[in-house]
Amino acid sequence: MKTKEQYIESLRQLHPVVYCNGEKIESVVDHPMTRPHVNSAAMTYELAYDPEYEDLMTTTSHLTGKKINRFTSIHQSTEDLIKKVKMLRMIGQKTGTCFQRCVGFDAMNSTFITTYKVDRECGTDYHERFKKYLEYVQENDLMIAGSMTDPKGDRSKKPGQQEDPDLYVHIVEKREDGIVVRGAKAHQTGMVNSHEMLILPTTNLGEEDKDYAVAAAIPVDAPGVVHIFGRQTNDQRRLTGDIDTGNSEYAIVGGETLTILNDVFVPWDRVFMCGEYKYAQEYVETFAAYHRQNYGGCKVGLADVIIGATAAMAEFNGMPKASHIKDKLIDMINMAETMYNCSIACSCEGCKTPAGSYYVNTLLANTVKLNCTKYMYEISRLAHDIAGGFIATLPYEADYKDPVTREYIDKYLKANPEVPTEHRIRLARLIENMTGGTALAESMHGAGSPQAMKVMIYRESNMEHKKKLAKKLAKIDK
Amino acid sequence: MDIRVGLKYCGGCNPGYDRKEIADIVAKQPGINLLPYNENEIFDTVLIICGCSADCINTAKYRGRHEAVLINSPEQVHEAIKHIRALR
Repeated sequence: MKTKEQYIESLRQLHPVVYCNGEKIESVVDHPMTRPHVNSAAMTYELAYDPEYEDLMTTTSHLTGKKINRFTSIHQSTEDLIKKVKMLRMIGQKTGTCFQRCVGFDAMNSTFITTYKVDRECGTDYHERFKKYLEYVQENDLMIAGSMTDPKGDRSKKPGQQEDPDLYVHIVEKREDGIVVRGAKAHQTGMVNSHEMLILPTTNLGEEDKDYAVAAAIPVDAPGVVHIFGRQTNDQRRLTGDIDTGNSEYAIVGGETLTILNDVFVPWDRVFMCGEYKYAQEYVETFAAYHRQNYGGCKVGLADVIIGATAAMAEFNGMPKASHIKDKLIDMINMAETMYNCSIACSCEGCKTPAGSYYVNTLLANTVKLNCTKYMYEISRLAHDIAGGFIATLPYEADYKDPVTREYIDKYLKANPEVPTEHRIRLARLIENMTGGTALAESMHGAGSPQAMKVMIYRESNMEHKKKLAKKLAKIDK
Repeated sequence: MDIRVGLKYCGGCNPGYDRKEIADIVAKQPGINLLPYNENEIFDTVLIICGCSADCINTAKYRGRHEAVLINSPEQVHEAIKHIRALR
């Protein structure tokens, strides 16, 4: 397993092409716009060596029997699925933001299942290829960006019907030594500080779209790969200090990119799907269910921080004992634990797949994320309610650091006399940045938009059974 | 001779108390040598500190010459120390 330091050093050896705000970033480790995201992902390496957390952070490879970072593992039991959720919650409590590594984790687990099925039915050898690749990932403790989402273009049209064929990643050439792919992947969490990306299809496909049925592993700095770093709410505050940014060490969300694949060559041993369009939908749904499972882990870890910040702010404001504040805090806890319950439940109700790995209960996994699209907003709303309007009107950090204005700010923004004004401001900025803008949109659309979950929930619910139950009690024969 | 105790924590997803503080109390006890658990060493016993009553760690995996001792709330620390001392 890599240590935190080895992970960071390994990123220095890579040379991805990254553009951000009109400049080319030469080192994602050293650039202030990307460094906090490096720090957040590095936590997944650091905690694996911490005795207090290693029981969640590490496991045994089913391929080699060696101790590995859990983020590179294939789930071998429902206990593994549960530990994944607990691990995500625990890390979220420490970073207060996305630590990015779950996407690749889920992409690898869904690829393990899908390649097994494709091989059995099509006579291909993707599964063995993937196992070799997985062993390489485990041995080197690599961070893999799970790359599913294509830009999609006109949403009413399938990939092959788009005016521009590159709006979904597709195979443009098959060669003796590999394939060449073109297109782009959007909203790519943790991409610039990953070692490699694992691309997979983003939607169900028909025969006419078979060139879009492609899964492959690609180094983030492979020739032809270009990353454009996404802008986030308040992200430039990190360039001018450490108060206004709220969470200066780890920032917010996962440092997403628009990643362009300009005729990128992939050797065959890294290709895990090439034209088997019939399996695209199941592949996507498997990945999505694993990924939706996560949100009752990581987001609950973040909610733990938001709830803690809100309760502390009530104390800082001098109102810790007001019954209406306690009541709202309880509502926040209830919503957080409800999301956690859903994640634990979909893990407990998981099952063994024909490939031998374990998979979550799809229906319950979708309820996790659908709840998250509502509850994170409600938790944030209550945080704003309790914290007070000053989180939206605080002066600039520069004015707080200016001796002339600092005196006024210290005097007039003080509340509880036992709490320094700076502490109140710091906590307010943390709440502001964790509960608004990009952070909320991520709760809505990460792992799919609400309608995608509703489609799955309806499909996975046996409505005929429910109707029969009602008719029987109502004594209706037909 | 001190009793050699291997220390193992649960994963710490949402602990109800500070597990490290409990470990520190045990570590300060005379006659108890509390060491980080290592599967290549044989301890007299293993102290497993869980953050809640779920005890989700696989306790069967961890034992020394004697059964492992488990703590899942701060109130249990003195009983655990008594139990460890009795192994001498």
